[in-house]
Amino acid sequence: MWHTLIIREIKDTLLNTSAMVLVFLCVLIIPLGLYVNCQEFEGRWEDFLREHQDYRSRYADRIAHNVGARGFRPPSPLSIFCSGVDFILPDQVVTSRSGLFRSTKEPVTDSPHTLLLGRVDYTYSMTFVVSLAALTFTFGCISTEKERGTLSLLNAYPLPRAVLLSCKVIGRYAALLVPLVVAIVVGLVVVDQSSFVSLGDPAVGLAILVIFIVTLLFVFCMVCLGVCVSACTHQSINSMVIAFMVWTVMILGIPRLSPMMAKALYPIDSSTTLRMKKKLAVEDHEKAYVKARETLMEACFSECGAPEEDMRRSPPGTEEGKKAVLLYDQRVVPILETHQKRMAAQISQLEQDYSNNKNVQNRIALALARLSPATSFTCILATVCGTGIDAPDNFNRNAQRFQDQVTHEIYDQVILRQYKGLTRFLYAEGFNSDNMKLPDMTYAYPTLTESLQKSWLDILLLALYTLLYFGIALVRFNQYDVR
Amino acid sequence: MLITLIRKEITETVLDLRFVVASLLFMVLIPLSMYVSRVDYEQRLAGYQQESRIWRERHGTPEWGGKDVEGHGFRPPSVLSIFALGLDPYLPDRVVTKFSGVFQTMKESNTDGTLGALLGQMDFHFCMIYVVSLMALIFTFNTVSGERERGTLRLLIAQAVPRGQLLLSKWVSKTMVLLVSYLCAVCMALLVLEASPQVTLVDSQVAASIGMMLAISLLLILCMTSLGVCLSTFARGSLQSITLLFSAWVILVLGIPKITPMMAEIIHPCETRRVISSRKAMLTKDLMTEFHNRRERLTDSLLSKEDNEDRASIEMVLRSGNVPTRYAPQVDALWREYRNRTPLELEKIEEQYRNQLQAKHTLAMILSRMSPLCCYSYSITSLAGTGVDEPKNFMNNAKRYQHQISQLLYDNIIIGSNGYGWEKGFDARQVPTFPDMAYARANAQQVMGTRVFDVLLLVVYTLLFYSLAFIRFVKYDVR
Repeated sequence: MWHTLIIREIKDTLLNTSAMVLVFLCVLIIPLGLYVNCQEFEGRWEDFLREHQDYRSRYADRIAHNVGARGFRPPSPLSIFCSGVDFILPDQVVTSRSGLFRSTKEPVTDSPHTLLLGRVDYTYSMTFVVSLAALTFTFGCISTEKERGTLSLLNAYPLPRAVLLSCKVIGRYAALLVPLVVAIVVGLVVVDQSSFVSLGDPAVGLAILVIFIVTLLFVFCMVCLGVCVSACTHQSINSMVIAFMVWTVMILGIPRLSPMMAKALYPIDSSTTLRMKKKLAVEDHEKAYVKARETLMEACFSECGAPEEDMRRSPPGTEEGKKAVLLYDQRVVPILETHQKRMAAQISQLEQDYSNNKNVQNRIALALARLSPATSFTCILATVCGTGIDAPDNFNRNAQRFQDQVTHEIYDQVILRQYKGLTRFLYAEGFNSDNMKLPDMTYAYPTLTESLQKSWLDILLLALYTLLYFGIALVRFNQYDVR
Repeated sequence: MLITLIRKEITETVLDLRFVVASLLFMVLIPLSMYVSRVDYEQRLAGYQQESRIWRERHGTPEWGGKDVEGHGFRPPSVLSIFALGLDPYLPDRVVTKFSGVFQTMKESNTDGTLGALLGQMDFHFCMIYVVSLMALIFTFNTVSGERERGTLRLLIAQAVPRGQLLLSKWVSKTMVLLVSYLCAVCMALLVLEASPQVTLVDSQVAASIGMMLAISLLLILCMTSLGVCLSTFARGSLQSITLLFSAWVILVLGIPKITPMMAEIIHPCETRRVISSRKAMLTKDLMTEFHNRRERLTDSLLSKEDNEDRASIEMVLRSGNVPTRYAPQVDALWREYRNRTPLELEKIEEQYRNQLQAKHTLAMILSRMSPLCCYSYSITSLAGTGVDEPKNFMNNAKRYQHQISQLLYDNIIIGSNGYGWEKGFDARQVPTFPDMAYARANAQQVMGTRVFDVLLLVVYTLLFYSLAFIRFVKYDVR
């Protein structure tokens, strides 16, 4: 009986004009979206390679001791599926001797039309087009039967109502999956044509499989929502109006308003302010250090009885001057260390405060946004694609690693000793400038396991929402009075 | 008769569930989005004020008149970006002027709004494009097909009323009811905006722009309701209308606007700004290296003509990196040559890039205008100062600022006998502080001058959809 009912639902749905339109829209939008994103990714990848090569060909073998080494972030191949926060992530990291790296982003206004009107990627197609299609497919599945009076006949059969409802859900879902799977397969074939993305790569292949499974779950959730709306109403036109309203609130309203509401509810300093505060702190510490250094130098020169002109000579002209410089070299080390420690502590405190506040704000925003299953779906896909809300933190971790690498391989090889108006470089033992090479930044995206660990709550929520909508639909369907 | 028909339609529409749903959505989403956009603007404004103040306090007065002195000009957020955020999050925040004449635009990598970037943001423009347009279609999708399905259309047409009047009454009444709930929501949103201490709606420029935005928004509503009526005349029943509504909305709102610019990028691929900036930076460095090489060759050739007695002392000056006083005129001439050449060479690169971009932009514009929603977006964002022309406007402002600082400072820097120095007669104390960048945006009249085509297209689309509906309605066979 199950089988017959499901087949009936599938036939009913697929023979409808809306199914044809949906097939057309899915087959058009999903592969087209993947194709244009693939092209766009290739462009970004080529830009990354060109910029990286230009930089290395110019500077790799000509390193200055105080060089600000540049590390470039390669785009994630999975960003084809979900561009996420990729467009706000910094492109480069510039290291410094102070240990504070700087991340930069070139203003991207070459494509104002794309920026203004938005772009279609896989996530967008699913969240907007397929979710709307799922509701269009299902909003009338019970209410229309109520309207026509056929539901009374159907309920008169000796079948549990839960079975009837399940058949409706499964039938509609299966009918929706046909064009969806066709569109996804066509899209993947398009992606596979790209020389920059290899679907055979286990990491990419597994990630795509996860994306596919999560998509199936999300679509099922939206089908259940449509059936739920249908079970709660008595007329198909009312079902449609309510389904569209629910869609507007869930897909357009909640996800977009929540981060802005969180900003209004829990305002924090912007990252620009943090950067400014850090910059001011560094400047203040630098000034204090220069003052302390110069005072020390004067004290050393006066202690050794060296003439003041020697302070600006390298090497000093007198024996007393040389003695004073030696004394200065010994005494300046603890001052420098104290200054560096204080500066690092203050910077770290500023970063920690900002990070704590940001976490609170993000938690509020996420708690509000997760009222919609679309948020959970987007968060999962973005995390798997390496373009989720953790991507900036991941960038910072990579940048810090690169900074440490440059510090170890370049900055630590040459000690900078500053005097009054003079700078001297002290080279490490066995130092050879010809052997010094500029290191490359090896940018690591989170692995699939790490991404899934971060996304477990969202996956659970998607499953819970599906159960909730199905549960409500079942309760309403059971409450339906045939008389 | 027309009034009676309109009244009947209005009563029917107001008693429908759709009116309640649309009113509810408008009353919640439009004022709420205005509120959050307002708070966001206030925060951006505070950030801009803080940043420019701190920079002015710390670096506003040049400490030394050397070539490395940089002027920073900050871009204030547009007050009308509350209505349409548009390109604002992508535009550079500041311009840094350079001695070489090549200013640098900077956008601090702002990662505080990651969730907002991932899920998108909602403003008045977004509400219009997604919510209001969808509601306009839902209001009207079964205007004719519903009556046809119920069989009441035959009775209606059998009355001694011209079909044009029947259709007009349906369209006018649906639009009027939708407009009432929409205007109530807009009034609430404006009250929310007026409550902000940072926004003054009485400012003539702001009021004129808001007025125009609302007028264009009303035009969009007319366009979408006429599209809904048009779809309704093409369908035989409500379900078919829903399918048509869904397809039309997806194509016009989600399809064309998002795919066409990406298609234009594929058809007309251009190098990115990153590559151009890197090429410009390399060219500047190459030219400086060339200058130093030529200077060296020049001093060598001059040195070879010197007596042995003078040569030793001149060589000592050269070794210390300075230019001997007697060579200063020749070196200065060479320097002036490079100072003039650098901006010209860089302008060539920029010009080529601009031409490439222009072709791509024109194609994207043409393709995207197939959707009336794009025409609306272009007009509204341009009025808000966050439209597709804003990057160009930013560059013009940046150029002006660079020129201003060059006139004040950089043009007076020369390469002298002791490195960089001031032109004769220039007193560095005359430049006590860097001037602020006076960021200019086009006013409402200027914007309408450039966007009149989009507004006209909206009118044309409205007329086209209505005419199609009229033809289909007139052709309807009662038998």
